[in-house]
Amino acid sequence: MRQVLPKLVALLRIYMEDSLAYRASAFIWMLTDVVQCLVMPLVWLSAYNGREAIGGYQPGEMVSYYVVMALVSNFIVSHLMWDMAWEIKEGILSQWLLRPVPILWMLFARNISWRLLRMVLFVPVALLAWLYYGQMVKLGAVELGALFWLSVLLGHLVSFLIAFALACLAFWLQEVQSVFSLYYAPMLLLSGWVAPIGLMPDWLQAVAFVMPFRYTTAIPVEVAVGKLSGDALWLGIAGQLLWIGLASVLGAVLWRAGIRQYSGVGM
Amino acid sequence: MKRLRFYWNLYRAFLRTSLVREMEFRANFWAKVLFNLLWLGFFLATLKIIYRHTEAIAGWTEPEALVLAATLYFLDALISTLFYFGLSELPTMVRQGTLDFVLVKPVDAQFWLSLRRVNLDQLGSLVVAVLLGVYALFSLGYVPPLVNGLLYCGMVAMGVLIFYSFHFMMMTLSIWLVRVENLWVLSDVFAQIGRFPTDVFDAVLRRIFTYVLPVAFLATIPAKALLGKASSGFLLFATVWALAFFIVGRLFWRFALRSYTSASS
Repeated sequence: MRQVLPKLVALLRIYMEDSLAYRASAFIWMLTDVVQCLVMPLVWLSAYNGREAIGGYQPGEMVSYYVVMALVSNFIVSHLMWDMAWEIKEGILSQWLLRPVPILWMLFARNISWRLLRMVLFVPVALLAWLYYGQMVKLGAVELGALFWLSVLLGHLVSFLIAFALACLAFWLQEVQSVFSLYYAPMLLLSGWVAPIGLMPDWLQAVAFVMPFRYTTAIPVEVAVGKLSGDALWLGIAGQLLWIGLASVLGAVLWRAGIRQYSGVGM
Repeated sequence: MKRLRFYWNLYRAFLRTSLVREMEFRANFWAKVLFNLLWLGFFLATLKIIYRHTEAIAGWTEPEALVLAATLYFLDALISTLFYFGLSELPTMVRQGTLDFVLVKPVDAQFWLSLRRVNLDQLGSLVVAVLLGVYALFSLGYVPPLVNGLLYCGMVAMGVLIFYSFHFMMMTLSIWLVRVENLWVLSDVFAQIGRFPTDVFDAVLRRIFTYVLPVAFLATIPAKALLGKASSGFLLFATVWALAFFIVGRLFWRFALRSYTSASS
């Protein structure tokens, strides 16, 4: 353990500096992730037409849902497969294999540095949103307790591990980028990014329940706005743990098989 | 006049080479169509989820919102066909210094950069967009009068020009921001805001999105014109705005070129 910690800290420092060098790009990526989350509340607010609540969401709760979603997805949702696939294709992976640190740590440190930077860059945008929605978001209604933070961390791990498993497909597939693009449509829909899952038709809710995406962002956001509590909350966290387990196994299997047939272009 | 003929011939050459390219990657054509259909389905699902719970969003009923979606999808396909991918290569050219070869050509650089790549694999999406629009009008039980149809076409053309000028300005930024490799995302954000009717915004934001960042002209105002909810004066307004944006974009490009230092030489 004494060996591990300094290595991890060093990695984090390197990747923090690295991502800071690309802060302008990071800001632009952050914008594209949050802009819909900031417009969607307005779309819903224009849809109430005098109703008190839609699917159990009062207008204020609807606004909170999307603002928390924007914040949380900046930290949770990982896109590391694009870089990693490129590194596999170009043979850059070889350099990593030679280093005295497990590759998963490096990926984790690099990914989390990006996620943290994105969170920081989101702060000014969040302040603007808060000013704009001011009266709508009753801060008291947002529960940011220990269980929320726990589910945020678990959600990050689910997203990270799935992205890793997906990236391993680059060992076999030539046009892996199109697979990644295909991944985004169900991911955005079933992770609650588009709309709260509770507002979807029953069959779609059932699909969301068994797919991994709900266990990335939807669980923590629903906890924050008080739509998930009691047994359902513990079931959600159990689901997160289950998907962390499943995605780890899947990632490990794909990685082992992939690395065996990796030829290291450019060596 | 001779100059015009020269550029017309040049454009025909662009079309020819693009067609040849397309024939080489025919499997790609269907992949693109499928891929675009998936995203269309994704957006329609979003609308469907909202309309499960309400009859109107800021006064737009579901079939009316479908007209809006079809308009945006049509606009998007048109943009991708005409200039989007060619123009999006500008930052790479700046980074690698290959922009030099464009600047020394005896043609207008903006013309060459914008129009040399005609993406014919988006034609399938154009057809799908038209079908969606027809379906939406059919379920509305509304046949737009010819005048509205003409207004609509004019406004869509202006919407394309506005998006073009915005995208061109974003790409031009790369002359200074050489290291920022995702400037194209800014144009995506611009279009993303226009996905929903701009009527959902309050007065202040609506003004911003009509006059400063005119996303309202991309889909909302054309769709309203088709549905007979916008006065014909908007076409004049859209034309003035589009031309102003185009001129500003061109001046901005000229201005940026003065700071261009070329990566290679």
